[in-house]
Amino acid sequence: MQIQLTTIIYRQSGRQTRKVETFEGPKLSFGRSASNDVVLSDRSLPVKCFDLDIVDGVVALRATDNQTKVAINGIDLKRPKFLSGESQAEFKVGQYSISLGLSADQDMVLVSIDPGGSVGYTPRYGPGFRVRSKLANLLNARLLSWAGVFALFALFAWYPFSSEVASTTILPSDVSDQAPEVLWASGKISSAHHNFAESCDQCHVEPFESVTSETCSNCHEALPDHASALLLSLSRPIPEGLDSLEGLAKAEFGIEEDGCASCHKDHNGDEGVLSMPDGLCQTCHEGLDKRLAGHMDAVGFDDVSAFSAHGDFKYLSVDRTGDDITLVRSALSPSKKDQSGISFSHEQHLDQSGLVWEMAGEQALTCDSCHALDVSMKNFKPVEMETGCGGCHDLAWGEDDLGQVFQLEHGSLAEAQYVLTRELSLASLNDPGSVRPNRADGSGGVENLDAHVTEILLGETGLCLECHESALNDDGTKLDVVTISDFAVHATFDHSVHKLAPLQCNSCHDAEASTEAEDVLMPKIEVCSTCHADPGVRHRIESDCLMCHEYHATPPVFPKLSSGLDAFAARLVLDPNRGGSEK
Amino acid sequence: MPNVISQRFESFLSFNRYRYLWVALALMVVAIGCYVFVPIKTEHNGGTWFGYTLGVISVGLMVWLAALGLRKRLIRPGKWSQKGRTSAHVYLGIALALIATLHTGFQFGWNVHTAAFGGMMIVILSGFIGVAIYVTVPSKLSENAGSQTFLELKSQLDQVNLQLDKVLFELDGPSLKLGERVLKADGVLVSQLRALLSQVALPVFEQFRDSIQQARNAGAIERDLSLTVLRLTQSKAALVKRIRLHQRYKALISIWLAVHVPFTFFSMLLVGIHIFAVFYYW
Repeated sequence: MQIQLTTIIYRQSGRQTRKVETFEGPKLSFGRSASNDVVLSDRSLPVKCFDLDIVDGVVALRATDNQTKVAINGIDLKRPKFLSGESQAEFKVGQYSISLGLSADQDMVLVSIDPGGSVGYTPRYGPGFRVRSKLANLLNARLLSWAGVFALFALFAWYPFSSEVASTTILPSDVSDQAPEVLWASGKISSAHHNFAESCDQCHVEPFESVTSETCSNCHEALPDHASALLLSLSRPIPEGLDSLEGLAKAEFGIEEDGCASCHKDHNGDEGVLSMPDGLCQTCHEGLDKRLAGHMDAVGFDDVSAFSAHGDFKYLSVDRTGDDITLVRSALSPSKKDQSGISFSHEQHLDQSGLVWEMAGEQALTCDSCHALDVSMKNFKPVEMETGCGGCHDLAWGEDDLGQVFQLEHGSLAEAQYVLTRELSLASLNDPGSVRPNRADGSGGVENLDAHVTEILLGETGLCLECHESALNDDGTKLDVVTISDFAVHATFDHSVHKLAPLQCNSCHDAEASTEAEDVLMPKIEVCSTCHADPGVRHRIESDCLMCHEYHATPPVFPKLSSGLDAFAARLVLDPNRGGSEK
Repeated sequence: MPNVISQRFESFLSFNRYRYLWVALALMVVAIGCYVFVPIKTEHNGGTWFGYTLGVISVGLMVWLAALGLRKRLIRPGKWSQKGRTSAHVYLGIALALIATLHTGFQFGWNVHTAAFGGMMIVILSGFIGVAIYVTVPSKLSENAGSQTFLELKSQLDQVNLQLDKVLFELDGPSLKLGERVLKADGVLVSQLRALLSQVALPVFEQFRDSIQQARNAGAIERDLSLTVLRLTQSKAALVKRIRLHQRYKALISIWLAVHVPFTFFSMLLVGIHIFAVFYYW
């Protein structure tokens, strides 16, 4: 018996055609494999699906795969279905609709297959070729550039600028280092100007104009000049080469040549506002003797290019010529004496034996028995009679009626004279025989009480002359002691940082060998050179000018004098060598 | 007899006997020499006359270096060499790193100024990676693709996939499942990023081949079918490997460009803000 297979083909144009094939039977296999007689191109179907078998004129369907679910008219395909005598049967396998029937003369089995609209095989992995992933598309350079540029502009331009434009000149009470303006700052602002951190216009007054010294002096108004404008201009070398070009450029852009910004620059964080490289002082101070030829004595400075080229230190000392008492600033020399008017021996007071040692309870005095650092911890307090010397050198004189030691006040000669005169007079009343003031015959008393009192106080063995070298000043009221507590007028020296082992006072000051109060015990620069040297010298302390000198130094004030002697200040004449900046 | 002109391949690095290397070296030596020996009154920073000079040179170099992207797109007649320009781009870029660093005076902070410097340094440092990529990758790319273009490789893969897809109609069981995975393998491999991150060889190809051998030994499939499947699998494995390598090389270049080019614009913007801010708060 023959089998006629009719397959409906759906064209892409939408047309349907039929393909009719005739098989010689008796068996026809169905499945998705190409080895089947009828290929069912449905991936859901097994390789071999079922067989159509004609046995003795009876058509039977037999599943060859137990996974296939095929139902014929609602009946499971596994059971053979006899079609002889029946007109037609229809069933679905996967997407395929299959109909079976017999020809009119019953000598041919008719099989019709309808793939149900499918156009047949469609490749699953064909032209849809994806070259870049979605993530790779995001790596598009142009897109990234625009996104980043927008974000960076917002953060670094709009954010700080809008914040700055909106800010006012009122200083904020709460200053933050994370303020938007900080993004435009060239560095962290110094602690001194920290409260301006969010108010840039405090210093940068006009946009696109550099900060001027005038703005600085709004706050720093009383800052002393380094020297007079004339002296500064004479000291400065005439710019040459690149320097002259720089000067021209600065003039062109309206930048100050010698303003505060020459040495000061903020936004250096914790380094402070001083922006001084090595050699800035030397710009003027090196070659000074050529530029100020003939005036160096008046200036009072040497031509200094470095620490190693520094001349001898110049110290103040008191000079007495006749009745004149002057302060002289000069280098140490054997003849240099400090005529303070005091009679004192360091050697005697530091001796390990002798009178002082005995009075101190058989122990030697040390430097700090008399000398104590002041509040600055840099310099020493002046030695006061009452607190320094008074412990041993009291002004005890006699006893009163109750047997109490009678102490004279220090500091006022007139008062001492008055008190002594009064006490002696009182004593004469109690005991007229012993002391009688101004008796004519001179018997049994002091003939001239005033002379007696003066002798007690100012006589060669008098109370005062135990320490005071000379007697009275012109007006006869005071004893002319002048002591200097600040010997170095143009430099500062910090004693506290030098209190390091093995340094001791006598490392620099040779007090133990000094027998006279006139000795100047200040060290020479060679003593400093033991530890200090120019920047760059190994194993020494790098020492530049600012270690000891101050640029904005207050003009040297009159040296402090011992208390109670202020009246002398008016009489002292400053030595002209003291420099050009004092008034 | 005609003159035989020896045409030796010359890399952009060795262009014109390293002419721009020498130019860059000279520039750097002069910059360092000036930095050390030219006297300036304060410590080095961008705000001295020397600092401004270095800054102006740096900005000029930046703009000129970035203009490489424009130059290569403006192909026009005339005596110029893209290779020469690229050579100069590389060496002067290195010089820029030094000159801009000297411009900073080694003063850095959390601000737009250091951000501009940082952005520029990212561009320059990524440039070193770029040089490494452009020296090695193009030859590897052409070596990998042989005489074929990427589109030809892709077309071949489509063909093999089509045949493989049809052959899968003949397979069943575990072989079919592995076969489906082999078929899909190209869906993964064409993504550049995944090609960069995943391995070139795929174990599923080996497993599929083993499965086919077993099925054939067990008599489940015909010898001819097994040979066809094995041939297709082998072809596809070779193609996949080549395409993956190709995509991997392309991905390297893409990622590099996605850093180098955007950061070029970032740093130019930041330098612009830096200059504005410096003179706004002069």
